[in-house]
Amino acid sequence: MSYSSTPDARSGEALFNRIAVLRAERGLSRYELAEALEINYQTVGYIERGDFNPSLELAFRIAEYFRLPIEAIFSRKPFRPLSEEIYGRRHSPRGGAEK
Amino acid sequence: MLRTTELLGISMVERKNRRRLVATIYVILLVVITAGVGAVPLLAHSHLHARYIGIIWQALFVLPSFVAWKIFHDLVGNLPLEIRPAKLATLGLSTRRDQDEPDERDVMVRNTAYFKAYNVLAWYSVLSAQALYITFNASPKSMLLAILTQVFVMVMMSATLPGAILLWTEPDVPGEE
Repeated sequence: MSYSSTPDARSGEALFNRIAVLRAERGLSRYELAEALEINYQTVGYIERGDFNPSLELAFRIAEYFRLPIEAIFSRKPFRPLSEEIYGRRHSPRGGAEK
Repeated sequence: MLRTTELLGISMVERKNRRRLVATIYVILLVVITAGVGAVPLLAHSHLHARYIGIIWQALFVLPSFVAWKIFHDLVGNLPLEIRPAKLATLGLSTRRDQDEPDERDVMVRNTAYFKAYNVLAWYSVLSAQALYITFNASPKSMLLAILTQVFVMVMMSATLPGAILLWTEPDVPGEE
């Protein structure tokens, strides 16, 4: 029985997120994001590192803050790099041809 | 969740430093308790008044426990989760969060630390009761000593364990960045 939401990869609880990328993209510090979300800046760091899985309520608050769908920020599988997701759709693996 | 990440100039960001601190404090407490128990026969045979012997013996246990509690308190803050009267009075309409107010992770790790400390204390009380039962036929003086020691150890553990568990288990603290 688990008494915490500390992720455990072995039990499949690991939750991946793009918060660090989104934060860097918008030039936000952990402290600024924490202020906006009304949580501790350490919590932001723990979520980014995957040491803590946020509640559904907090996950939605994060999604609302970034104005993105929740699945664009959190995933149960590792994210592919954004560049690969964007350009991978336009170009075939052999290069050049659009889908 | 650490309230401060430095103690006497030593960074507490890394978990290994915090674990060293907790281990050192508990080793010191163990030595003090052992010395306290060992000093009782000497004190009992001294010419000191019983009241002073009691004060010296209590000081041996209580003072180091208080120092340990203070160190943990400075690092992890006031462990019991406070009820915010201002928020209750406004029925939660005061939405801005205080700087020190625990967030959902803080509440979770603190509750977990208390739960683990409660488990340790429960096991300790069961085992110490068994130890007392074994020494039941011993002299009244040693019985009193055994009971007093266990009470002091329980008080010391209940004061310091939640903070120690929190310091021991928290991963490396992420920076403000």
